[in-house]
Amino acid sequence: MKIANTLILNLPITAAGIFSKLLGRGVMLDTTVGISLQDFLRQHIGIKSDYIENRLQTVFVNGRAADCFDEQIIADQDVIALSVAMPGLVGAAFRKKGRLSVLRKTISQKKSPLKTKISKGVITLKLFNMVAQEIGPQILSNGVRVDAELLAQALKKLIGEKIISLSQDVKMSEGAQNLVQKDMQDPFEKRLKSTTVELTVRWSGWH
Amino acid sequence: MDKIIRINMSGLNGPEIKTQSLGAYAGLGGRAMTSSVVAKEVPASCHPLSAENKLVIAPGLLSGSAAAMSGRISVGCKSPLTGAIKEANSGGQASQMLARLGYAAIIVEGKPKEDTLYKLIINKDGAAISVDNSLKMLGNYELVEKIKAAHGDKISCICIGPAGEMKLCAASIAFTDMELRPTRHAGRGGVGAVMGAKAIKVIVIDDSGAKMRRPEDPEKFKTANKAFVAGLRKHPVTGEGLPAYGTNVLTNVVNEAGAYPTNNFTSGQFDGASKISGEAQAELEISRGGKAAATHGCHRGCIIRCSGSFYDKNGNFLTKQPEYETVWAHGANCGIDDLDAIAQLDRLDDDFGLDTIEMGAAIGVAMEAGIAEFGDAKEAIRLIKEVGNGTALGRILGNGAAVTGKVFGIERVPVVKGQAMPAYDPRTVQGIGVTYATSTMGADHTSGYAVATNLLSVGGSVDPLKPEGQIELSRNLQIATAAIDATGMCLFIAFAILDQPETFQALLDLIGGFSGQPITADDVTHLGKTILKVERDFNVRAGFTSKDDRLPDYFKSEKVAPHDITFGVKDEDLDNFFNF
Ligand code: SF4
Repeated sequence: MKIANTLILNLPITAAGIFSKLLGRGVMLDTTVGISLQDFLRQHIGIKSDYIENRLQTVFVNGRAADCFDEQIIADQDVIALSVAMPGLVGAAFRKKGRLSVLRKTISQKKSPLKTKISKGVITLKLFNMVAQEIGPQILSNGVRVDAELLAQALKKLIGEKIISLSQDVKMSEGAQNLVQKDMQDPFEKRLKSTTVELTVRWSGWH
Repeated sequence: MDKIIRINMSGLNGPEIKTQSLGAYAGLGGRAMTSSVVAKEVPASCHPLSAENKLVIAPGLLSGSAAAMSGRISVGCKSPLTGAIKEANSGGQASQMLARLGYAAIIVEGKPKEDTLYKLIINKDGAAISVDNSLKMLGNYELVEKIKAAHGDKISCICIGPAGEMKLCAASIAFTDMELRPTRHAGRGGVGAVMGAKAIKVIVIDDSGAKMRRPEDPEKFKTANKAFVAGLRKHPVTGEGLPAYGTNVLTNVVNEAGAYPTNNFTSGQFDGASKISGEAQAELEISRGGKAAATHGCHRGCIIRCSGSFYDKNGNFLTKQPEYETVWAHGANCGIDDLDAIAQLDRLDDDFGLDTIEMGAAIGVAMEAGIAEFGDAKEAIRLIKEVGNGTALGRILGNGAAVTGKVFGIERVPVVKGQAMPAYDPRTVQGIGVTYATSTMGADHTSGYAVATNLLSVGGSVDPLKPEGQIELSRNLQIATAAIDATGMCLFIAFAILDQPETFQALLDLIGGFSGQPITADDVTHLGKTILKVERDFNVRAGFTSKDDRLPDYFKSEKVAPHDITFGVKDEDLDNFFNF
């Protein structure tokens, strides 16, 4: 029987920055696939339309630059990366529907298959730079699956900087407890390696 | 800026200094000045380290004024690395100070016969040069401390480290920053070796008593400057991304695209990218604290402030915040994912006076040759120290990636015209491959910046709904960039003027308000075209042909992961580049 590895964290919003590396490496979401990128971002992640339109200027699906979010159909196991506009010639070339997009045409998103079945699937979502700061807290509060080693690094930092206490602010399922032994010298990295944990963060001081 | 200082190092009784009026060079600044002087006065076939070559240092047209972002400086010569014309650009305080003293250029020519090292001092009373052999082989940091002890801290320095004195092809010229540290460099093309050949160790600039340059139309200038600054502040790239994360904000994104050259261009993605990303760097810098940690300007008057300060684990200043290109060159390109090690390499480069891109590329090639393992930061540090110490291996590496590849029999050497490619794989982003191939400077990412070609109408009236081809676009970008390089403006203004027509208009008004003559987009385009043509003409006279406008062959045959693509732009198309 599969043991659920769930971990609920109570955190002040001021500590959100500690998850930037984890969000940059990607978090996994069980979601609906076979829908457009636009619908995924808006309906399933809950990002506002004007944020998608104006702020998400650099978006990749499986390493290919996306231009038309309405036409882009997402599939199971896709990796979606979100960023604001980037500097430099290459940064400009990556921008969605940018005037310089021809410079990266070999890695521009290909046309999605016209009909894809809507089903359940897993998406890896990567959030970079300001996007991680701005929508990271919301994604983490929705609940995500994260690489245990990266989570362990973040937890160590949170405990090390006395932002949380393991006994009061971290609630673990039996499965996660089996992995996380408080009394170990190096409590997280050794035990949590090569596995994933369901993480939900409950923020205080955030609305 | 109505005069030029000319120093003839071959004078019969030692160096001779002349102050001249601008003559035919009136109205030129920055790259327009350096390239015009080199093209006109340097025999294209000369040896770059010979007496015939000239070193030209020129502030931008707006430098020394109150215009925001206008403190960039250009260094020009025939490059010892490429054999072609060179303009290398830097921040630091020198541009503003030289301009305030009224100098549009320093031109150093000739070469002393004896083995002597000189110090040049420029202040409101003129220029003076003297022998100072006590400065020999000093690192830039120690040198500047010594100069500070003698001349106080209200100065700025333009100087070379041991690499320049050894005339290595990767030698840079350092420009001190606001804290009087030698952290800003005209890095590319071996300009430091030319300064070394002229035997000038340091130029000390003291602008005490000099006044800010005044615009011809102060009202127009002031209004335009205000609008320009507001435009920079409100744009997400110049107002948020660059100040928060610096240029290294690109690492995660370029890596995600598979365009982040790794282990000497053998892959387009680096496993350790997130550890050396701008996000990780900013987090580390902020957690360590210290003055101007994550956000700092490279010169006074910078509004964007894409730089910062890197303090070591003990809180001691180590170096300025390493830029994206440096983090890549010494990081992913050598398989190194340790920000502290990269910062240490940056410090050593700055101290010895070396171009970080060229050194990262040379070490990457050496790693491929088995001199060290990819990922071995300690060995990378040892190799840079070999360069600074001038050992035989160090001199090979210090002459750049192409020489290193030849010496060790490596085919995968990422250079164009002998200059190492920067941090974007041209197979993944093929448009930048066009710029690498055709730039008059050798592989260069700043030659065709993301300037507002549409607003400038470069290349005529291009249909905004019809995408231009890669060649046309790269050409138009290179023309526009050459013009911006003449103004002394930092290229990072590009985004705000690309996206916000009112900010672009503010820039034109700023230039117009300063000179008293209205400037149009056509004028800017004309200037850019003229600069590129002058540079191309020099290169043709130096023996370059369209066959040199190519990427190394392996980019056409060796696929790069994760997209498994090769460089597909045809040679015939590249040959069309200069048809304008
Ligand atoms: S934006 Fe960066 S490179 Fe440009 S002038 Fe400012 S600190 Fe220097």
